[in-house]
Amino acid sequence: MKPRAFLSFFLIMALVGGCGNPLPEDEALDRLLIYCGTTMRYPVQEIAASFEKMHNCRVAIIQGGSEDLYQSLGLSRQGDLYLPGMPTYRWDHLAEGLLADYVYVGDNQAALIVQKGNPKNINTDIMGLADHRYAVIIGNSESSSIGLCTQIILEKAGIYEEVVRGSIALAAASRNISRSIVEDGLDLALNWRVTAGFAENKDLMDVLLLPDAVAPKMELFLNLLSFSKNPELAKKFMLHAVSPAGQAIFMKYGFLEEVSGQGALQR
Amino acid sequence: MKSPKIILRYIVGLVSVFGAGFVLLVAVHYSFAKLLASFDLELENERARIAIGEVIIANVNQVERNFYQLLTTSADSRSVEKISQGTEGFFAHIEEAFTVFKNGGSLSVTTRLNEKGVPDFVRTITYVPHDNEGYVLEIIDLRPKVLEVKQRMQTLASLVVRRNSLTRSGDQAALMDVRGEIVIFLKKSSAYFVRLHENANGLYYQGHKNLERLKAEISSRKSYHTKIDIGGSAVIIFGVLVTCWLVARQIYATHSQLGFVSQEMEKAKRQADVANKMKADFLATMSHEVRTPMNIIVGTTGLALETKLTPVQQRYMARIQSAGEVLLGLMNDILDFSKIEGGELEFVDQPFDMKELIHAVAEVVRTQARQKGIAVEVDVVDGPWIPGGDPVRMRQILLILANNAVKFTEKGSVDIQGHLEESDSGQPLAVITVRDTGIGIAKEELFTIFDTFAQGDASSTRRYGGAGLGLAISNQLAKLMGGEITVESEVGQGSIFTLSLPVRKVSLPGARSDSGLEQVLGAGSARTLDILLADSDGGWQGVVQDLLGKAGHRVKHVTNGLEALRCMAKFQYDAVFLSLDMAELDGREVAKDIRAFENGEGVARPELGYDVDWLAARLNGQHTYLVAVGDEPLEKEPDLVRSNLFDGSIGRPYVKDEFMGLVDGLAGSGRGSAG
Repeated sequence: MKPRAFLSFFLIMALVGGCGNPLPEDEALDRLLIYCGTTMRYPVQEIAASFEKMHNCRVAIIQGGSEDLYQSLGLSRQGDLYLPGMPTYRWDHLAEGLLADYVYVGDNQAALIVQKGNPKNINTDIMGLADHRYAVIIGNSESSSIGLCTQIILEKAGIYEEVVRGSIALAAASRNISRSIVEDGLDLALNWRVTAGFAENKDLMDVLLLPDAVAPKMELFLNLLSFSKNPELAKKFMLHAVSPAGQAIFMKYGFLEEVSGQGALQR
Repeated sequence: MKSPKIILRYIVGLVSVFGAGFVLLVAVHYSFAKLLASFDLELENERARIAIGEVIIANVNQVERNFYQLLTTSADSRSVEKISQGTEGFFAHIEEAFTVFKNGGSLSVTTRLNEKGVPDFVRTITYVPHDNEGYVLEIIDLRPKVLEVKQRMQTLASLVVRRNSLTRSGDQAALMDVRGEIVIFLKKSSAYFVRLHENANGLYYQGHKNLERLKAEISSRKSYHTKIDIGGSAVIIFGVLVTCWLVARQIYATHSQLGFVSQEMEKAKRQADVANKMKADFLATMSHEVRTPMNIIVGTTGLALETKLTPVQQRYMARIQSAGEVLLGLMNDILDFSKIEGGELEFVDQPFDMKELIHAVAEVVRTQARQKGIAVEVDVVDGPWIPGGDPVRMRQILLILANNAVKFTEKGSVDIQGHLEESDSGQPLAVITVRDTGIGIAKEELFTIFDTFAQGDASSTRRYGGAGLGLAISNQLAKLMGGEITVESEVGQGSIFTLSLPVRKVSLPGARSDSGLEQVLGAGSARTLDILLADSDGGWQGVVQDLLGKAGHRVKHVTNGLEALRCMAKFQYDAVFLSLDMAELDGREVAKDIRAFENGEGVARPELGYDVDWLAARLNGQHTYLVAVGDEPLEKEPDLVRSNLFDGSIGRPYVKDEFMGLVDGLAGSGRGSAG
């Protein structure tokens, strides 16, 4: 090999070596920001993980009470998708113009939650929440979907004010309700049914199902935000969420009873 | 064949490769160091992010404390307002943290130390936002809640003011309502604080998690880049070493080639030297072989010219003699030039009489000059000292210059002037000027006149003959003797050749007028001599015998040294002429034996037989006049001169006058028998 060729060879080697990097540069990837109701965080995280691999992107999730989240996205005007715990949040806020296309990803349904084995033999009766013998916790209607749902159910039963006064606390979100049952040993709560099935809860609490007439199913809509900077990728995520694979994940966590065909975007 | 230029290129290339390698190493190392430093900076930035998160948590705690502190006061609206205002600072700090998160910058954090004389500890946190994210999770998540809490703080403050007012007014029913309202409000508000704490803690946790991830990632990157750095450096060093090896190999190959070529050149030079020696030997042999018959021709012609000839025969014989002399001169020139070229010349250093030398030369050229009607004038100024040098070579140079002067002069005269002087540096010089009124030399030819085979122009060669060696030989001889020949000339005006030779001052007072030969020979009346001539070449012995016989001398001729010794054992000779190149016992050996016997140290030669005793008896205590006979005069054989074996010498192409001058001188010295 001529000296000049060799010099070129090791120059190139050095440059290639110097430029090489074994780690993916996060900075260069597309990003999605999802505002996700606390209850739905597990399936969304799981779907996001598979979506990241499929599309080589990064998905960040902000979880919290549905109303809190809406306030956050409204204030920041940043992000791509919004998944509240009740359809009310879509319909009530639609006029504000922040929510665009949506997909149906599953259902939420409120239920009574008691300690594992129901040691107090609490009945499947919504009126039990107003029973002062029980330490009760409900959601805060001003911040979370379960709070709003609770308010609707209890107002219908005519016991909302009484339950609010008698409750130990008004929890910010469904996760706070579950934590109070587990950590504070409270007797009774009204929370989303699926939360009792989560891995961290299922051995510690039981569900007392309420009739649909008392606690109707609440549709879960994954909404595209009108100010999304990456709407195409966001739509891909939506379609992925309503794909059979996505549905299977939602079903696994109790939001769906069965997997149907590929879902579609709705306006 | 690689030239030294190519080696130089290799060396320059090598130095360049070293330089490039060094620069590359520095560049690679610098870039990696910069990269690693950026990792550290990134790590530091992430720590700053966590620290800002901590500031938010601390301020949220302060806000919560003030929020619940409102409930405990029973003061009026002014006090409540003060608590609310105190909370504003915490909100402002939280907002400031959000701004730094979003836009980057510095955040000052004051820690109260509560130590006398020690000021509060203030630290500054500097944060550079990740411009790629486009959003700040902390702000998105926390800001609405902070604003909500801020709103609720005001609401609570008004509820507390109302409660305290009702307490003071004693309106129990209204007071109960307000208290119930406050309880519900607190229940609802507590959820915000819970969320605020949760989110702040979550973000703090996330920050820590990010930090750990970043640490691991940076550690991995550092490790990888360090490997790349080392690998790259190794590649560069290896590359430089390999290049060095290649270049060194090239240099070695070139060096080997040069060595080989050098050997070849040396071999070629040796071959050339051998060839040159062979050429010189050949020339010497040829010269000898040609000059001997030529000498016979010239000698015999000379003898014939002294007999009774018709005018036509006289003219023919004169032509033969003239042509023979020219040919002999040419042979001498070629032989001399060959010796000069071969570096075989040796010079003697002996006292000489410059006046006599110049006159002798003048006498030689006068014969030709007379034929052309040209006068040869000599003007020699005696010096205060006797010069020492090589008179034979000086005579040779001068003869060439004088011959040329006569040859190229058609009318006018040739003047030869000589004097001794000292140069500015004190070097004694013999300066001889030969001035003629001949054809002169063109200015442009003056530069080449001393070159080999150069004559004024081609027509000169045709007209005047000669090989053009004379001036080259004389110039070379002058240079070899440390002197020089200069020339001034103008076409049609004649030429002036000046010979300057360094000589040695010899203190020989009173000896200036007598040459060494004259001293030995002295002056006297001519006598009949008995001469023994030992020479293997019998071709010219008849010439010599005729010559000497005509002069009245008796000559005994033998063909080798042994015969010469035998003759000397039987008879005493006035002079013995010994040829130096006899095949059997040459002149040197014979002379040595003779001198040994004269000193009583003779050693018997078995081949001499009984003659040795006679020889010893005859030579013991005597001094035989020995004359060396060779191709060159004795003066051209320095070793023989130094040995003092011979009393005189004569070159074989005998110039009649010289030869007879020597013999006549000997006859006049009283050595020979009378008659």
